[in-house]
Amino acid sequence: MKRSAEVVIIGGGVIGCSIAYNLAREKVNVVLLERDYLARGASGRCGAIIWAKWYPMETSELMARVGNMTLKRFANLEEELDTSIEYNLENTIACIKAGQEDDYDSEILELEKYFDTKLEFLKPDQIRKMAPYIGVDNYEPVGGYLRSGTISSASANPFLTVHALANAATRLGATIHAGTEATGIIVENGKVEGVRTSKGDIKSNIVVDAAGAWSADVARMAGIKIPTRPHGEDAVVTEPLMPLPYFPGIMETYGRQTNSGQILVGENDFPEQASSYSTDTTLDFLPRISEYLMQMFPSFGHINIQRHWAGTEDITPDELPILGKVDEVAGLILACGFTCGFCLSQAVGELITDIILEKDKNRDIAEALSLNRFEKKYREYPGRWYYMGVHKTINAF
Amino acid sequence: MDSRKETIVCFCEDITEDEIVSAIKQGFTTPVDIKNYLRPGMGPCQGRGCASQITSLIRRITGRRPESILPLSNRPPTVPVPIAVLKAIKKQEVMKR
Repeated sequence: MKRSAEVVIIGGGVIGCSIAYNLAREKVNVVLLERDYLARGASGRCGAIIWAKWYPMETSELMARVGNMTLKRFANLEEELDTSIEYNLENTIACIKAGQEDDYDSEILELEKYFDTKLEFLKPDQIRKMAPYIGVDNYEPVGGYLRSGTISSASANPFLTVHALANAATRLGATIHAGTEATGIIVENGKVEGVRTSKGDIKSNIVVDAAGAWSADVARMAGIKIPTRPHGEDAVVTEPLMPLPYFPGIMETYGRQTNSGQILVGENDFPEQASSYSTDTTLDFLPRISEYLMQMFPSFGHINIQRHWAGTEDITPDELPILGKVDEVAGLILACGFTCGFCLSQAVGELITDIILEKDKNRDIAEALSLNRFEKKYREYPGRWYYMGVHKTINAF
Repeated sequence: MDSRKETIVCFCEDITEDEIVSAIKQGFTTPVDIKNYLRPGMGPCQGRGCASQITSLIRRITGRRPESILPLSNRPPTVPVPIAVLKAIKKQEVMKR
């Protein structure tokens, strides 16, 4: 066990491993602590979709820059790490139901403006011809948008990605301690001096909180309140099917066909629930998601659902991550509050590295996403500010 | 030829003993780690066919006692259920059972 490091990262998910890899590449002496095993939390339970996401707020341009960064890095990651992460480009048709046209029109324009992506409008007849299994007749769509062969709609295997990043970081000199819990952060005179772990203390002046659903607990160890809270979400996979040429997207769900042919779907607009670290599945999710599956694939009623699981992630009131330094405690770096963490992970690794090494590049992003954007009164999680409002349609991709 | 190369441990995901042994030697030493890395236990049988073999391979290579090796977590539905059947379940019925 190492007793000192320049940077200690708490959390062995895709965010923590990406930060460890990027720091190790800059020859920083870094130690990563993971309580259980790598990708135990949301990273290993996510849909693993890598997409261009548009945030309709004043931050949309900044988030588009973050998005473009992550998309490009993911596209080159296999080559960079010299290992397979099962990176695939997805072919999707986002189906527009009657009444949703206006939402789509404005967001499509924004997406094309911020991301290097072209979306092709399809009439119902065209969809019927290209993908007869899509439930066009079921909900009378006005059409759909086709996105295929671009890096702004892709996927990867989350376990392979986390392990590939962790292995690359180790090769570059980082130390990864799985099965080691961070039990406290030593703060003296407003400065981080080290981390207490289940296997002894580690001296360090910089600690990164990348603990996902547990991020608020880790921040509290340093005496800081942050407005994130754990939130459980469910997903299912069906039995393996033949490869589908196009995957239908609807507003209410996200999904993709996995490498082994299973259809993976989860829900987008989840109701606000009580805080929960539980990764137990919820009872009424199965009938609800089956309803959506039947809307997407009306002829697939006989297909079996094989597996239903749940994960827990940390959400923030404005659904944007919290990145960077904290005024009250020097040396504490936050990298948490991700609802789309797998997708953003590659950009976050780079951004946090820039923040730690105090590079000027992307400083505006770090400032816009810092904890300071919340007034003091919102340091307790105040509930979601944009429920059912923000990423309404774009998730259909 | 080493017979292990062809011995299938997980029939659903088509994983051989050789692959599992090499994963254990790489440091994936619990059933959950191996499941995440190679996917045994995530197929239609949900680990009924392979979990005990994997535990015994871990025991053989690491020398750990089998009772110290945690089993895979159970995930609903216990057996594969068609989408149409699940869709037909009403919330009240779920609660009644």
